[in-house]
Amino acid sequence: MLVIAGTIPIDGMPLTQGPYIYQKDKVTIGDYVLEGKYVTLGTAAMASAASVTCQALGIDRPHLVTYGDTGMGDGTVKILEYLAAEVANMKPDVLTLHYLLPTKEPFIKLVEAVDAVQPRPFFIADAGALLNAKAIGLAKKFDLFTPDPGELSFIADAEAPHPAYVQHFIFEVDDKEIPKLSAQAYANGDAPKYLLIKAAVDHVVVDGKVVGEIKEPLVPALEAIGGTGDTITGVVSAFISSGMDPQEACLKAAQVNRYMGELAQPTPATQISELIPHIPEAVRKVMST
Amino acid sequence: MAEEGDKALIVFDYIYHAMRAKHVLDKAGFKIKEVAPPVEYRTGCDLAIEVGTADVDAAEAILEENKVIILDILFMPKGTNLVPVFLTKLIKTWDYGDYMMVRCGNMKITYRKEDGVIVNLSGGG
Repeated sequence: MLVIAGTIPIDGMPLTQGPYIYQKDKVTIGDYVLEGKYVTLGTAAMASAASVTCQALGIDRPHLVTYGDTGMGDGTVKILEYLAAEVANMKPDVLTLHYLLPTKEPFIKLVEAVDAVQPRPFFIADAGALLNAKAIGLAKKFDLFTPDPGELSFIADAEAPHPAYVQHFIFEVDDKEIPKLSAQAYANGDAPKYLLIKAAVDHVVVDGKVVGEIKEPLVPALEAIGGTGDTITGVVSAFISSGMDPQEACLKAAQVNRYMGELAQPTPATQISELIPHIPEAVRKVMST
Repeated sequence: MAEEGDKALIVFDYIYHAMRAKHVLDKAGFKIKEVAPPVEYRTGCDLAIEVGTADVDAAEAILEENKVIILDILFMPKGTNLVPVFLTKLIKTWDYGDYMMVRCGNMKITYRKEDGVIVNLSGGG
């Protein structure tokens, strides 16, 4: 079972967990229903992408653990405490952490709890969870990070306390910066075995070395659309949960995201909710090639 | 007694309070600087406000009055050099024709040129 955990910025949303089922303009998390704009808000964008991918692959839908958090950190702590207590019973094959605010002790307790689960889940972090894992020195406890170039700049800088304070920031993705920073992050102990770097050219990195680049199809508008990094993380989580080799899953997830864009023909004003319905067809296209 | 040039650091749990503190203190006319706190003073939020020690009591009072929650106030050893936060160094723009994307660090905002309406936000992780 794929378990996804992260906050959704809805004031007053209680701790909510259960199978995540996506339909256009509506999702259900156990008995809880989200509609309209909330369907792709915060961690919901990633969970929606994972859910439609699981459906396309014919495997169980993901299980989401979430809590409303509008930036005060209370939801993050509730999620981490719940997971630390329950992860041994949930027995996920893949556990993906997403929008979480910086926190130390509850995060360490969860990582320790995940370490104790047998068999150990494949452990993925994106967004706030990725930044937090690096900031408190726990990157090596994870198997896959899915950073964008900004997040990569942060994990490659051993001294940076925050993504805004990095010594070197990537603006233009070329064939030198990403390999260099990926190797640096890995050598510093601040990157896990696998990295899937989401950019104009996507990179797959294993043990600090680039093993794949995905350039086509190029849909420039995707860069401007909020949530297109979240969808890759959702898709790769689903692929790995299906039993696919992690390296192959990273390569295929990046392709799926690009085909999703090509199928939708977006403008910079297109919303992520208009892209997600194209994922099943993109998955079928990638799986048939 | 505080010496001329002594600095204090106001630190916060969350960025929300740090940003509100800047707004409140700016508006009240305090001479402040946004800084990255030194490693040993890092908390959940890595944006702190530096003020002169002579202004600490007044700054604390006005923040309390405006319900800005302070985690702590640290009096810095003389000569401590804090890194100023110059986010403008991280800004770059992309022209999409009818739309413009502005990137600051890993945050991106895209707006429609015709009317300035923001159409997409990205990088909030």
